[in-house]
Amino acid sequence: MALSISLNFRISKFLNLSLGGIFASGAYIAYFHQNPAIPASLGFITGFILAFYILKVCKSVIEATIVSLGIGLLIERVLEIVHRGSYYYIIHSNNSHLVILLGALLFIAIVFAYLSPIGLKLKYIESDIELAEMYGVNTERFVLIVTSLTTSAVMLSGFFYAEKLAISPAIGFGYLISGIIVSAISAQLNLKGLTHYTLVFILSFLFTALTGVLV
Amino acid sequence: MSVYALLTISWMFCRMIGRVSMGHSMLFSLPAYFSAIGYAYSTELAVQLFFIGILLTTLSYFIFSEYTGRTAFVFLTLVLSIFVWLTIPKLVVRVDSYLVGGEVGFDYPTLGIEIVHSLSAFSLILFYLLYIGIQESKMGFMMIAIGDDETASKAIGINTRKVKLTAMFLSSSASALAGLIYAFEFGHVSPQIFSIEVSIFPFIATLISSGNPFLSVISSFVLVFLTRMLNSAYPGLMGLFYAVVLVLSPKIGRWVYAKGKKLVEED
Repeated sequence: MALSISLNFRISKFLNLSLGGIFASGAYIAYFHQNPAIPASLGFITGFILAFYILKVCKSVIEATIVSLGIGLLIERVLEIVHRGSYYYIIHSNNSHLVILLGALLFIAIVFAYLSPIGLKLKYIESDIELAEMYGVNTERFVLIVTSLTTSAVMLSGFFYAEKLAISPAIGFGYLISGIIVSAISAQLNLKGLTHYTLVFILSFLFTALTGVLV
Repeated sequence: MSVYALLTISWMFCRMIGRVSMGHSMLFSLPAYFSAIGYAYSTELAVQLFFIGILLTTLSYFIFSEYTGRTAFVFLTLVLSIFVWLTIPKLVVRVDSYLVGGEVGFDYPTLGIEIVHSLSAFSLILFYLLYIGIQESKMGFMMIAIGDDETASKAIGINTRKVKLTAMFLSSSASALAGLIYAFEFGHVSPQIFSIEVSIFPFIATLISSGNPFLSVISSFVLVFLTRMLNSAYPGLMGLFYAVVLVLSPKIGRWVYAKGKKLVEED
């Protein structure tokens, strides 16, 4: 979650508050279907639509963040209306350890991306998106890809972690806030590129080991 | 209904100095919640904690406005309000060997419905007139100047700290009063008063009224009426409406602004 929030903020240039609802919808999918391809693809499509809408409509970071909050709330409310606030439990399943693997995979993907020729473009976008555009980087494509992939990863993490939770529409908010806190703490050190994401990755594990989910 | 209109007026004091609070439930609920905790022990403690709540929210919002930019202020207030909303149900206190609080919340004295309505209407009129009065005063011009450009305001000799503290105090007081009346109306304060709906209510009310104070009050009444109507038709429907408004907020904001500008030009 923290890696996704950081990537969205640094590359897509908004605080993606829809990830709480996305996480919850992943958990609901786990209750009804066992196939991880469903949350992976649905997450990717949701992220793509969100990024596309933000690119077309929003003119500032605040507008984009408010829109993402709206999407998150929309998902949560739809889940609440459909399931009427009931709690669901998943038994006879043992997939929760895959969340760690998913986090590690996302981190490895970031490492490879930053070490490859794309890394330079990502660093450009991180420091100044307008300047990157002037230098010929297709920033919109990066925003679309990053938002779609991170949304997909968060929906998958909700899917894998569902068995550990009493599934309800608002379960994602705690993870979202914890992710934001970890990202915000890491951001205080003003690190750039790969070092920042490494710190986020380590801090996430450290906080989870110490406190579980923060809220 | 007036309680929510009062919350909107309170939000507009913040916006006057260029700060968009997306976590206004903090100012609304925290003093009332503190007071309700105090009421579990004694009436005197309830009164003291209410004022401590106002002081705390004023100072915290002032500090946020001093040390964060406009964008970070939006993030900070929103994230903090969600954090408090999620953690406050874990707050439990021991009173005479009983545990109270938690997800249930705290009891509070009730006032008669006529008294509550009169009090809320009176408070709304008072703060509305105060807002209009301040808008036309020297302090109002300084607040608007800070809202436009804080650095330039400092350069022309405005004491930005004093002005921002005044705006935050007015905003906190109006919100806290609204929260107190809300608590008196229901005789109970639950963690749900910290919910996101309360936080984003003034933003939505102001968005659809283009920031006009009178229209914002009217839109607050309309939103509360709509909430009751939609939620009685199907529980949770209003939350869906709020979410859709947030998603469409950039378009709605620009459309309302363009319409308002056109009307002014025609006049």
